[in-house]
Amino acid sequence: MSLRNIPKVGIFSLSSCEGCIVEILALEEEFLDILSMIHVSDCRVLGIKDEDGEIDVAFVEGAVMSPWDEAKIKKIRERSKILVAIGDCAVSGGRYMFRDFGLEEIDKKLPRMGKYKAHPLSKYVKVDYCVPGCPIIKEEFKRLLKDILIKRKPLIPHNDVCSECPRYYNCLIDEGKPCLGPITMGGCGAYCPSRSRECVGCRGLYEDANVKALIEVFRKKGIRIPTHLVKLLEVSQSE
Amino acid sequence: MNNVIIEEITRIEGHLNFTIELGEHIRAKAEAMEGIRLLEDILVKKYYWDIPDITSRMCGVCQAIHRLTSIQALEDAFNIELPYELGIARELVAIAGHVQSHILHLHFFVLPDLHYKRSIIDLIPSHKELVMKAIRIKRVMDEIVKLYGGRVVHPITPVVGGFTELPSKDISSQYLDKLKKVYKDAVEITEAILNISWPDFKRETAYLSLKGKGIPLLNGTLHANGLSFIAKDYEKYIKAVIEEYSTARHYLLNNREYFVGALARLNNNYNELSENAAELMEKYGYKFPSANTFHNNVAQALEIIHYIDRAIEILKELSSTDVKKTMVKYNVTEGYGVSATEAPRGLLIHAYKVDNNGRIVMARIITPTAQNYKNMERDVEAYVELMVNNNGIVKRDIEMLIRAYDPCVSCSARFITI
Repeated sequence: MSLRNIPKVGIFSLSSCEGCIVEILALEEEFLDILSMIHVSDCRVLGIKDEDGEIDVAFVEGAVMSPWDEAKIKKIRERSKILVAIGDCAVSGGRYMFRDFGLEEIDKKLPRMGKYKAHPLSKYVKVDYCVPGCPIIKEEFKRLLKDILIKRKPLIPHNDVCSECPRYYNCLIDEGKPCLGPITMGGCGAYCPSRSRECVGCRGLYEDANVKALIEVFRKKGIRIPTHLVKLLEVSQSE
Repeated sequence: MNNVIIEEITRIEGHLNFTIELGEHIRAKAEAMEGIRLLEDILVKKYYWDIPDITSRMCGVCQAIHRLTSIQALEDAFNIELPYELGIARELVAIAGHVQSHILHLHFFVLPDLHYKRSIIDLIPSHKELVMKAIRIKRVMDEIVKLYGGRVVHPITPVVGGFTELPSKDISSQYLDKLKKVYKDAVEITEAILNISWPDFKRETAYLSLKGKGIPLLNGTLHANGLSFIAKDYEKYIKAVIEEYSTARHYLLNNREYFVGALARLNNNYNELSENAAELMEKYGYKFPSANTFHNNVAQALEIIHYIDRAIEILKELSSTDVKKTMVKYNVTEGYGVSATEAPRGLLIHAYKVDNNGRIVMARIITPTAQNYKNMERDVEAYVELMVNNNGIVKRDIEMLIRAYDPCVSCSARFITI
């Protein structure tokens, strides 16, 4: 790797709330430790702009929503050896968090942006790794960065949120809450359910998700079915 | 003469370009380059319980206040009143979010400018102590947001009707001690900002903010230069303007540009500053009202102390008894609700119409930076004119002026669909 073997890392942002970068900055002192191991070559929020040159790892948050986003992500891909999509916007176009899968109606009203809806990075470029969630979890970012730096194969969670949940005897679904834990990819340590909030599914579907069965359970228990769950079922069946 | 174009201004939240047309009349354009994020349209037809989760995604820095404001607007629509202890817990979440945002802006974004450094990373070798102190206080604030709001970025536990859970009184008293321990550092990092000699640039404009006891963040009436109105009447005074060159809406107050933010808050409430904050203001010779946009940084710095003082008061109350009931019962009814709050960057308004099933019929969100664009443009024009008459145009100084607004472009970028 370049520069006395100190890896060059870029942190980029497309259309998004930039919460994932704020989450990374919330590593606080640890972030400074990380900075002693890498060379940050791009991070607009921190005031670093280096338009050219090769990058070892590029972290990109945000969805592709405009022509300039598309141009930007293509240029980033050209420059980087490894490209990582961070956060739900970059990974899925934000569809799990915003709970919208169609947007046809809005498209009609908005001729200006042409073909651009909220698109995941993978629609335009090859993505090497994904960090899901809205926002990402800083520990997961840290672990992935470390894996990449020591060239270890990153771990991708294959389990649902329930298998990490501490509420075994007081399940939120039993309490009548529309928790999406049974169909959502784990790795977050059941962050929301362990704080008495139902899982909203921000990390996307896990590989064996059975959306149909969950809708059935909600129906039987008289739990309100989240508006987007039916659409999610269609999407999961078509993919 | 050529135009001056500043592309992708660094160390602000979101993507903003500025074009300044030179000539007989200088004209500045604030161009939000954020992809159109149709948040208001996405909210329509959704059930009310989804709204706070989605609105908090409008912005990664001021997510806490977006969440609280949409909750308050929905509670207004359903006529829900919270008991006192839940109210102060909400205020604590707002305050902690506020102070951590100010530290991010002042110490991460502004300070490097003043030492001719491009980034806080470059500032570490020469000012490690100061940077570490700022980070330490930001960490305590983040932890408070996490404890009372459930998460640092995009809180989860505040919901319509209260909280899903709140920490015990023992934890509140732990954090009271923690906050007291870093108080001296907080004063020190505040003084580092107050100690700076800011450019002398004055331009009269209107300053809009909430007004009330203790410089309120979550409720109060709206005030600007003698004008006074309640949140529900906002449409009578605040009007949207659509500019072809920007993906964000711009706004006018009674047909003129206006300023929202810490400077507006202090211009309207300066005699409500906490004792310690007022003392610092006097010590460094600042006076409010001020017409110097750069003093927005000063106002933010003073607010750090003012709101930490208030947080200490709240934590004292929360550490005396456990909050037993974290939720109030309510009925979903058809209604219209508005909430006006103070985000770190200024006045924030959420308004919703809800049908009797609890579905959103109409959503309007007015963000601080969107309100500031017109004022920003007039300020840049006046500042550039001053530069042309003096030593010539310095792009870095224009960027500093824009940065003084603490702009947050991603929340401002939404398109009107009429």
